Amino acid sequence: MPTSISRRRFLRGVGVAMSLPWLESLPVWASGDRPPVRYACIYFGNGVGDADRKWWARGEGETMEFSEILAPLARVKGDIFVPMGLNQQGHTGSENHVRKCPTYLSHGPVGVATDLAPLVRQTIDQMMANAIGHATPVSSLALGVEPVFPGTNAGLSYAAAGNISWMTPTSPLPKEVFPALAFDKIVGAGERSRHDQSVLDLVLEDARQLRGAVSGADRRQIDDYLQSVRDVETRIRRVNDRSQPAGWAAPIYQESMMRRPATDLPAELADHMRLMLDLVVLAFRINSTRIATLMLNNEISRQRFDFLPGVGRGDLHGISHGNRVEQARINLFMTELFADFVAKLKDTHEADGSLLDNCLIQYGCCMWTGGHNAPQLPLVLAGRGGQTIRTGRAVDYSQRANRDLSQLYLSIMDRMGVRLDRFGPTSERLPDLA
Amino acid sequence: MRKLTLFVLVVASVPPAYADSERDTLATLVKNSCVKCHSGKRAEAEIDLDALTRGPIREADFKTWRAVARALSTNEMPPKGAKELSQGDRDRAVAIVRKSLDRIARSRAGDPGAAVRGRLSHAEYDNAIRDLTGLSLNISETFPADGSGGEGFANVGGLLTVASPGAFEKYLIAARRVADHVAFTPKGELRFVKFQEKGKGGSPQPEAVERDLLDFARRAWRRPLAEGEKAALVKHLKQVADAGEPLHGAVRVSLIRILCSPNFLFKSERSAPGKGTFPISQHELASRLSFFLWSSIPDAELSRLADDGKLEGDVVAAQVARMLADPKSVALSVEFFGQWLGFKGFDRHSGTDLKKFPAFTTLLRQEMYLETVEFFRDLIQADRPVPEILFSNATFLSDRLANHYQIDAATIDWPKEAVYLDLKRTKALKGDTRTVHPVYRVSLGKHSRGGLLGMASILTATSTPVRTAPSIRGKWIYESILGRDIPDPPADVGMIPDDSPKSANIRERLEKHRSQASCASCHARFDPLGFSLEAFDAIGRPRSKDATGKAIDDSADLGDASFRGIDGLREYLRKHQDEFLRNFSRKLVGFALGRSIAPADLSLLDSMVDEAAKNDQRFSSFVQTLTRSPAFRQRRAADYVDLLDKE
Repeated sequence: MPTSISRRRFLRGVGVAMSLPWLESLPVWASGDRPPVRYACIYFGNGVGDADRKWWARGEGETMEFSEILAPLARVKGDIFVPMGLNQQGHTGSENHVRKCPTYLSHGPVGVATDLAPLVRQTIDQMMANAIGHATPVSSLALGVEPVFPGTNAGLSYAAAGNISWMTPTSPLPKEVFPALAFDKIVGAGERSRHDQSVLDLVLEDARQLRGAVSGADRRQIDDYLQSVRDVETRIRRVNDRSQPAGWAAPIYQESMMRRPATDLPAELADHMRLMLDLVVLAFRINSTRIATLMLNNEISRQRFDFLPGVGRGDLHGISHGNRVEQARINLFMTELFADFVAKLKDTHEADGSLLDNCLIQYGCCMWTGGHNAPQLPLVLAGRGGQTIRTGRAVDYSQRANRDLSQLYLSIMDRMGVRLDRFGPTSERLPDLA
Repeated sequence: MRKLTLFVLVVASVPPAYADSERDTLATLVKNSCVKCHSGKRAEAEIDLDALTRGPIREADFKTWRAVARALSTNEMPPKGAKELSQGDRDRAVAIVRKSLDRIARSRAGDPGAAVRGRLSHAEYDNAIRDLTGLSLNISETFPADGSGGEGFANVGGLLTVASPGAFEKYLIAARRVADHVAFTPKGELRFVKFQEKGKGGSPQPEAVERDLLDFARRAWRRPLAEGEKAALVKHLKQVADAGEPLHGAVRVSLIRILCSPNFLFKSERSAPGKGTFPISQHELASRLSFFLWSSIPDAELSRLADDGKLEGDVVAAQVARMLADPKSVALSVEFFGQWLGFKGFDRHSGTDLKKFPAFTTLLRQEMYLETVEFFRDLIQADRPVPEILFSNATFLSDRLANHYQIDAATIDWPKEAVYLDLKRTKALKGDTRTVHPVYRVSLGKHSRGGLLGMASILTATSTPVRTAPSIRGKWIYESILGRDIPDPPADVGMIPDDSPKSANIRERLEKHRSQASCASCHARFDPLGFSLEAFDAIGRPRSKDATGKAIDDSADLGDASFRGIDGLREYLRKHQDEFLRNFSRKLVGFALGRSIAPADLSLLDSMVDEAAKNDQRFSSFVQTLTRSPAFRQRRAADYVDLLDKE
């Protein structure tokens, strides 16, 4: 059934409205000869234990050196780039978790909307999803390990501590914490019925009627619903569209790549984290999406790491405020997981090289220490971004006049084919990347 | 087309709220300490107190003045370095401002407030499916968590959206799971069964199935279907069948279609043009009642009354009474009390160190949870006075729990029957419940247990994994029970490390923490409340010595009051019962309406508290006053504007 409601009409909200005029999708690799660049942000929460001493890298090539927490990266050092000294202007102080987390992938302060919803700017992953997401079966993925907590913290919904991907100023892209459900989304599995379209047509008609009967904020909620239904419609159409472009084509999913995970949440935290990381590898491998975020922990995390030697039974947030030694041990463990993940991308063949060659992976957190402050940010990049990043180096940006992370985000978006003149406080690209 | 009665809101002009002398007093106080920074075009925080104090407090400046009162009352302002304001002057200034704000707020009595109903919360979705199918499927466990806001509940309409790629798909998948349970009676009628019973029974009969589907849609959509909607549903069923789908498969598709519709998923209410307010329809009222009291959809009786146009006047009050007495009102215990007081989800509490507290077994934990859920279920269903939450000497114990509390089971007058409810079925209890012992309502006489404050669930939830946390317990009493504001802690706040000197006990360590001036001003207000519960350990057991071997000191000194132990705390709270009742009313309104309290609601809170005083403070009295109010019965029309809404 044809409808009169366009997608664009529903791309409302301050963040979207502000970003659209500058958004321009460049057909950087439109020939399809080469695999596209994929971007992921692997996020950990609650800062780094004893960061000044334990989080650094220096040098390049064979002589590159790593601190205690980054040591596991030594085995993939040829494929990583460690920018030291970047920060977010206006966020270098010690505002709390709910004020820092939702702006990590965007910029600008967090406001308070009605009923304590956070008010943020659209994050880069969602800006890119709007611009290029239509080219893959899934426009973007938001994954996590800890569910968003109920309730509020320091005057804001806990949503602000549990989401780094924000579609609109008040709506996160809800993250998936169930491995099996994320898997279904990635491989386009899950049940499809030939009657789906008739169901969607009818509920769209219901929504249009309801829309006419309500007003104000109720109507905007129905608009959101309409958009969400249409997104499902589009996805069904893309999965059914078997035509392959000329040139490079991603492999079709096979069970040997990864089996469907068990339906329940994994009992062990480490297994859960590994599974979610594996799912990012799978999604990129079959080019189900080019954009993913994964939160290994929420801010104000309640995860416990007492399976690690030397770590007590407090939760991560408590440890981050009270015990830097234990926190550093936990940071080290997550770097190990990240290094395994990078190695898996590297071991996956793609085109004439590895999958990692065409990836641009950001690994970091919105805080430098457990005490909330962020004079600089812990950050590692992995992958060559389609031969656009010279890896195997650490670069110290701390003496530059412009140290803002937004420069990196402009550079990342360029490489993803989304060119912005300005982002946050800057129009500069991060120098010395290529 | 429904008839609309439009009330034009008459905004009476608000007389100046205070005498000129008071205004002058306020201006003088402010002039000395505030206007140096807060004046002119570059006023700090864009608050120009010089201009604001030239005339009476205006409605348009309501929110600014409220912020001023808060900053003054919490000692946030004036900042260090500015001219100090004595406590007496500070109190006077705040009193003058608050009096004026109250006057303005009360002039708004009757404004129903901004109501966005939003989609079903996850609890509402699960309960609705339970009531539609008779099966407890708990499907929402795989949904991303609902955000909370407003007065702290997860049913805030403005936050409940279906707003992302994939959000709708969750509902599509969920609807399929529900539809997987469809089966047919020997007569060919629609029913739902557990998986293991699939394949038994009859095959669908077209006529019976059509009728049952329309009835299902009517219940799911919570209103009578328009003729066009009925025809479309039947047509769709036939189309799918004509496309070669067997009839039982076509029924399944129809059920998915009904459950994915915004008519099911959203609680949106019809709008009306104009600038005034108007009453919601009777079907909408039925829904508001059932989502408030049952976290679920209306039942047959409620729907029939709305169909017949009889859901008004005394009939509503009678329905409220019936619904409160119904087993389904356990949802109020879990959703309202559970979220307000923080015990929802305690049956899965994982914040206790099991090596340190091996006694904290899964079964004990579930019985602790049952004690609290049953206590509130009983408060609601037996319609007890609300102050009993704090002051009752009764509670719900199992033998295991009595043992945990070190109460000799032989001394308890156990009733013959447990007031046992199928809590698993009502989704109140999760996990392995096979050997959970029933809990019985017992009166404990002089024993310190009884009521909320002595419950192990609360005492455990307000402790850290390894020790008690008087600050957390104190803050919980201060904020959640008494409803007092605590400003945010200063940035870069420390925690009490668990690895600091072993010889110091928690009281000594906290007192050290409070020696920092920035911490002391707030901690001195609530830490002592927590100290009074120090005779209960981190899993709620009685104790006479703490972990360092020192004798327990459960004395509390709040400056203007001092007392000892849980009994002293109760006496203190008894003196502040009005604050508790008002906070309870505030939370109840926030939950019932799914939004934050607005200035216009202050009058409603007044009347809830006043009415309850005439009715022995019974729980139902608060609910009756609330459900009678314009806030509950009316909506603002599409073009309603209120100055107080402006940020």
